[in-house]
Amino acid sequence: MAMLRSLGNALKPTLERIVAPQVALYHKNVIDHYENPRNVGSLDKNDKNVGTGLVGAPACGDVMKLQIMVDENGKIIDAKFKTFGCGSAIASSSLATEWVKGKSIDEAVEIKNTDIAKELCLPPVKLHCSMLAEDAIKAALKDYKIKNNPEKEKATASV
Amino acid sequence: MAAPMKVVPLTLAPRLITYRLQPFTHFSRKKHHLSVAGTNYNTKYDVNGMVSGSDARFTPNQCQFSARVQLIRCHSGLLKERKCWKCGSETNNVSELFFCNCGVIQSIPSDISYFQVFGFKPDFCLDTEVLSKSYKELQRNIHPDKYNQRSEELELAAEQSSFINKAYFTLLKPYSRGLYLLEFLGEKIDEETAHIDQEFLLHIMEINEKLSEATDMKQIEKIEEENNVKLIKCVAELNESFNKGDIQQAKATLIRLKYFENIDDKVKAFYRRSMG
Repeated sequence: MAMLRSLGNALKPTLERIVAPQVALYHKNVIDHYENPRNVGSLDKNDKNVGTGLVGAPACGDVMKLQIMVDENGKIIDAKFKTFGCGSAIASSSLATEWVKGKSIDEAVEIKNTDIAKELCLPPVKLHCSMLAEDAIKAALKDYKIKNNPEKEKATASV
Repeated sequence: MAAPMKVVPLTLAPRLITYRLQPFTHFSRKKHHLSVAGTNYNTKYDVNGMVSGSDARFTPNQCQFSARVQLIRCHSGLLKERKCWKCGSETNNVSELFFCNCGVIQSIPSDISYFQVFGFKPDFCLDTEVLSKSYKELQRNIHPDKYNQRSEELELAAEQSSFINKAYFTLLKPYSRGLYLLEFLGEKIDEETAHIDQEFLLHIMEINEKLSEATDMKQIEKIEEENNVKLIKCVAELNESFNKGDIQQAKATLIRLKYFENIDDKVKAFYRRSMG
C-alpha cells in the first residue's frame, strides 16, 4: 500500500505535465490575470463616491461585482472587483478594473467588451465573459450617477 | 390531431436539442439504487403506450399537460421512416427503435428526443431509478464491445451507445434535464436578455464570499446544508412550472438552480481538496 502511495507521488509531476497543456489553451494574458488578479476586494458601497455594479451570467451561473471610486472631478481613482466564475470572467473583470482606473466616467463608458476580449484573446465561447465585464462597468457607472445626480441638482439649484 | 394546440415551435425543437449539451454535474450524493431484475423490453419502450396511458401524477384538468401529450404524439410522428439496412423492411420507430425485428442494430433517427430514447414523455418529472435501469439495459444490448465480431454493426452500435450516454447524462440531473426540456419546448436561456434580479445576485455573492472565506469543515457543512434546501426547493418549483406549462417561470428557476449548483460544485471541490 505504501509502495502504491509512493508510486502515485512519484508519478504526480509527470501526470501534471501531461494535464497541463489543456490548461495552456487559455492565452497567457488570461492566465496572468487569473493567477494574479488585480484589484480584488470591495469598496464601501454606501460611500457616495462609490459606484457598484453587480451582474450575473445566467447560463454559467457566474456573478461579478465591480466597484469604482470617483473623485470630485469625475475621475475614477480606484476600482475593485470580486468575481465568482470561470477564469475568463475573472480575467475580464480584473482587466476592466485596470482599465477604468485613471479614466473619467465619460471615458470609462467607452470601454467595449470587444477590446477586453481582444486583449485577453478570448475564444468565441468565452466572449460573454467580456460582455459581463462591460455590463459591470456600465452598471457601476450608472449606480454612481444615480447616487450623485440628486446631489448635483441640489448644488446647481443653490448656486 | 384536430385538437387545437398551443403553438410550440415544434420544428425547431429537434434541431436545437442536438447542440447544447450540458456536462454531467453531480449535486446529489444519493446513489441511484439499481435493481438487477430485468423488465420486458417490448412493453418498456413502447412510447405511445406510455404517453396515452394514464399517469397518476397528472390530473386531467391540466390542459398544458395534454398539449404536451399532443406534442410528443406529433413529435413521434416526426421521426422519419426508416428502412432496415440489412433486410430492407420498414422499421417501426417505436418498437424497432434500436433493433430491426430481423435482429440487426439500426441507426439512430436524427430527430429523436432524449426522452424517447428511454420511453419517457417530454416531462421534467421523471423517475431517475427507472431511467438508470433503462439505461443499463439498453447499454447491455447495444454496447460496442458486443459487436467486435460484427464489423457491419460495430459503427452503428458505437453511434447508438454514445447517443444513449448523452441522453442519459442529460436527463439524469435536474439542471441539464430542465435545460434540455426548455429547449425542447422552444425556449432557451439567453445570456443577453435573461434577467436576474439584484437581490438574488447579492445573495449569491454573499454565499460565495462566505464559502471562499470558510476555513473549517463546520462552516462548509452549514453552507452545504442551506444550499441543499435551496436546490431541493428549486427542483420542486421547476417541476411545478413545467407541469403548469409556465415556461418563463421555469426559465427563471433554472437560472437560479444553476447558481446553487455552482455553489454545490465548490463545496464538493472543497471536500475533495481537504481529503487530499
